[in-house]
Amino acid sequence: MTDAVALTNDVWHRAFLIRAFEQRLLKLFSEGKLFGTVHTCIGQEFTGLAVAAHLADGDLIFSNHRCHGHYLARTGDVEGLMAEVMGRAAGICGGRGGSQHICAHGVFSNGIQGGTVPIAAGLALALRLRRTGGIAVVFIGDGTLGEGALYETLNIASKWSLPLLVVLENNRYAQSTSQAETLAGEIGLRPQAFGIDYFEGDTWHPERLTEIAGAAVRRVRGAGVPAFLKIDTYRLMAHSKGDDNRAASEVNHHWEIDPMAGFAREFPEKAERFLQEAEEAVTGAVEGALESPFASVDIGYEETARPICWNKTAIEGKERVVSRIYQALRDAMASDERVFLLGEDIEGPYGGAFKVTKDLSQLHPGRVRNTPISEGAITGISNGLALAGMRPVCEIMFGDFLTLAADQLINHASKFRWMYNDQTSIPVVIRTPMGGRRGYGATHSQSLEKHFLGLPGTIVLATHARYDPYLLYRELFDSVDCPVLVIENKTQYGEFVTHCTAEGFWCEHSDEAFPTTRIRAAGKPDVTIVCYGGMLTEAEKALDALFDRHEILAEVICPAQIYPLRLAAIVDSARVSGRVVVVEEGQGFCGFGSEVAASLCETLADPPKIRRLYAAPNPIPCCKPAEAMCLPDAEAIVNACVEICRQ
Amino acid sequence: MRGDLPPVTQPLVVTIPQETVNDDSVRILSWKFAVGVTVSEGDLLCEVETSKAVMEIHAPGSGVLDYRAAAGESVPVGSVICEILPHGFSRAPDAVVAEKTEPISETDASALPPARLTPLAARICRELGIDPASFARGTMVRQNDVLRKAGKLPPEIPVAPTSQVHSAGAGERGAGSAVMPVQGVPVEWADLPRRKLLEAKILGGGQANSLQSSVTSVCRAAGLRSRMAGLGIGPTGVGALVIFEAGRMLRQYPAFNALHDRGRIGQYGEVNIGWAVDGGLGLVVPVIRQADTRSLREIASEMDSHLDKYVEGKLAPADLVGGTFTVTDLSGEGVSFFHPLISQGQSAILGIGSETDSGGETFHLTLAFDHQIAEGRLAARFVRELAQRVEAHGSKLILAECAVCKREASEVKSGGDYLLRSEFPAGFVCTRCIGGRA
Repeated sequence: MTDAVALTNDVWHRAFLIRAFEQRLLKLFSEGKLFGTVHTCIGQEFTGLAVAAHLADGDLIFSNHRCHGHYLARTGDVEGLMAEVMGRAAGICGGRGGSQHICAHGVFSNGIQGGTVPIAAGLALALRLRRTGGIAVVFIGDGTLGEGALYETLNIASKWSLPLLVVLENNRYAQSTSQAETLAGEIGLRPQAFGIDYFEGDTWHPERLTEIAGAAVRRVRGAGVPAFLKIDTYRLMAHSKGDDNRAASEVNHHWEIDPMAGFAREFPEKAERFLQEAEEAVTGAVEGALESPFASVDIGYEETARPICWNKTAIEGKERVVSRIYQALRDAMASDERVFLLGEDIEGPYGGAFKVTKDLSQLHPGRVRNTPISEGAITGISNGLALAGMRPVCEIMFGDFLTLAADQLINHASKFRWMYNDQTSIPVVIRTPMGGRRGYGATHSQSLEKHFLGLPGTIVLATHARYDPYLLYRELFDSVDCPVLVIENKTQYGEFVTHCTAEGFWCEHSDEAFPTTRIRAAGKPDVTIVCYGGMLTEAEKALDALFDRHEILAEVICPAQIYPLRLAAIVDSARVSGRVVVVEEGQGFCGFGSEVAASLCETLADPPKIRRLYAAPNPIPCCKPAEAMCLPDAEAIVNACVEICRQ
Repeated sequence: MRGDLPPVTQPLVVTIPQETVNDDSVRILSWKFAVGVTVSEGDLLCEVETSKAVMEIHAPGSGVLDYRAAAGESVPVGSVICEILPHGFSRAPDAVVAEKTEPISETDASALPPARLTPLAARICRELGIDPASFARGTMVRQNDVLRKAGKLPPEIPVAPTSQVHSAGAGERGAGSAVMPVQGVPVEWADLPRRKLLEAKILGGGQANSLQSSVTSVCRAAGLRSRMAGLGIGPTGVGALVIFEAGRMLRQYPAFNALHDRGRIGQYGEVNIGWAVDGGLGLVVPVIRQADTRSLREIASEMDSHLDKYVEGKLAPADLVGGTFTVTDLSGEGVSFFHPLISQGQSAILGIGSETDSGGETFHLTLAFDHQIAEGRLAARFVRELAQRVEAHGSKLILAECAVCKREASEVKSGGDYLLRSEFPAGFVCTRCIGGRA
């Protein structure tokens, strides 16, 4: 095939630089100077180069574990990348991310295949909303064709017309498994099934490939639609260091047809010069990196306790919880154009499964989007939006479905800021209702939040009806720029937000950013009930029964922020009462109650008596009377308090 | 005179005054009348147990008796034991002048809701004629608050907020954890008197298990060993003799064949005496069951068989359980005084020490005992009597005979007499002969 476009010397120079870089990494690794592993792109250098040739300022790349070539093709930053791979403070992520997790100059990467794709789609969406004319490129491997998140994203990207270019480096092997074993059907038919334009090329014809990549980029940028570019290629070295089980004859053959080897045969002096310059640059980078100290970690656990001030809660008006949440979203959307809502069935007039979003889509057209049923993709897109500076609010219809978004929460959203050395913030809000007592059964009634507690870098809030959820959301939008999971409660949506509580008791809230609510009466409490969210309703009922039937004066401590958990309010109360009953609606093992109990035992020289209440250890039955037996309620709280007071 | 005075026209309340500072509650032993019965002034209403003594409560007036606490229940000192009501008394509250409420603050008083009473508190208010509105607004009122207001409870000592509050673990029993009696032996439980509980509290500050004390008596039984050998009782002779005598004495001194548990004394129904063996293969305590019924030879032979098994390592668990009293003999070790430790499930242990003096071998019998169920004087009597009995075996008294009638000592004894030392005729004379009875 005649090569219509001749590649410039710069491109070849860069190709040699990439290869020298990767080869040096292998050498450094064998000398024991690297940590973990490296996934070298030797043989695939032109995939990144072909695409980078057509990218403009403002275009973004999201790559994967084999990202060095893409980064160097786009930026040429050998020093920063070498220092990063060597774990040094001078690295582009301060040495924290290492080889697979990079972030600099508009190039990101993460080590989870599949999960990267919706994030890139989120970047693309942000670029389109901002009308920058920019595009987002995501590099995947043929192994990624196994991950569902890819297809969820192709679907949404096509439907929403996102300027996303998916570049598939088809080297026909996923680690040790050949494509023949795992791939059904044809690669090209996949994007086309979603109506996405499909382009093909290979790295053995780098000039042709560059031309094809240009066409793909122009398509995405010009029409504002996604495109899919498959690049056939071959990695000449192992998946990572030494694990290569491919036939030697096959590997050798590809060394022979390697385009850079061809270039060296055709232009030996140039090749020699490029190689030497590349080696020098890489050597310089290594020496520079060695002078830099290793990445350091400032291990901060919880903040030191500071005394709590309590204010009496006085709530005017009488609106339901759902209305207050709606109002908070509405006001946030009105005052901040970066706020963007996505979720299933949230557009008006339907307005959401629990009618939270109501008419917001009509008030702010284009900023409230119904999504397909793709929790992984919509959370990933939210992450991408947040990464690009938007303030997305993602609704997961039922808290039970949060499991489908777990990868995005745990492996992406919560990690980006720290992993990327504080270069980014991820102000993503994921809201979801948890809780049973409606007879919805095992997969629509759970309280799964405990599985998402304790992700460093995130905040988990739980709304209730004794402190205005509007204020929680407003604080969130005003002051927080890390991922926040907001646990709402299905049955509490209909409750009135009010400070009125059991007779003789009153509500107070602390002076924390997300206040803890305390429901107390005059006199020393005999027992402290700790709960959050939906359980506050039951705990409040227990106050009456405990006083009237058992002459026990209890006090409820209900934090709005359940992670990170601030102990001060609980400790203050526990010190006085000496008895703590912690109640959660979810499963108890390693749950919220365990955390409170462990923290109290560690913190207090003389820990109080503690009892935990939680759901029965079986799935929640659909039949409401049976369901009631499985979930802790006011009676259970009363019994636990009576028991603990008797000890 | 009783019954002459007119019946009461107002309810008369009877409380237990603060008689002793050591008591914060007293126990009602028995009511002499049922609720609703008409009693006369001076009638004995009930008996109440304090730590000092049992008190009698007499009716302060004539009328209908009413009380809430049942026999066996404890009531706080100062609280109402019972009331004498006029006939036909209905519990409608009298008009009581409401106490002036103290506002929390000038501005907040009216903003606060009225005091909330528990149903029980409200009922007591009605019964005692207290207006619920007399409680400060915004407060939470429980029965003790009402009783306190009525002066029927001591005022609450405010607890500093930072102090830890632990609910008192003490139940109706005395303090301490459960003590397990020895298996396979009948035990009869009885409550210890309050006097004894208080004594234990004073002495030991409420410690569980045993309060050990010991008394020692010197036993001059020269020639005891040779005497035993002469009877064909081997090296275990002295121990066997002590076990033989102690076994019989424990029937007279049951306090040392019992155990203490949380204010109760458990009397064992058998006398099984364990004896400590440590021949260099480890300390074991094989048990001689029903030692009080076994003869000296039987006891000695069983001890021999224990030793054989011990040496061969064939002592079975069955040999080692069921002991209600223990004897530990270190007299052969050249030990005189020592303080043996009481075994689990028992309340006393006897240690035998000895020293060789100019007159021959002297034994020291040391009884260690649990002061929660016995005391020094009792222990002293036990150990003194035991010493005397052992001495009796050691002296030639056993081998003696009456110089006059020539009856051997055992025969004299079974005849209801005994031998006395005599100068003339030399040796011994039985009391029958002295008395002139032939």
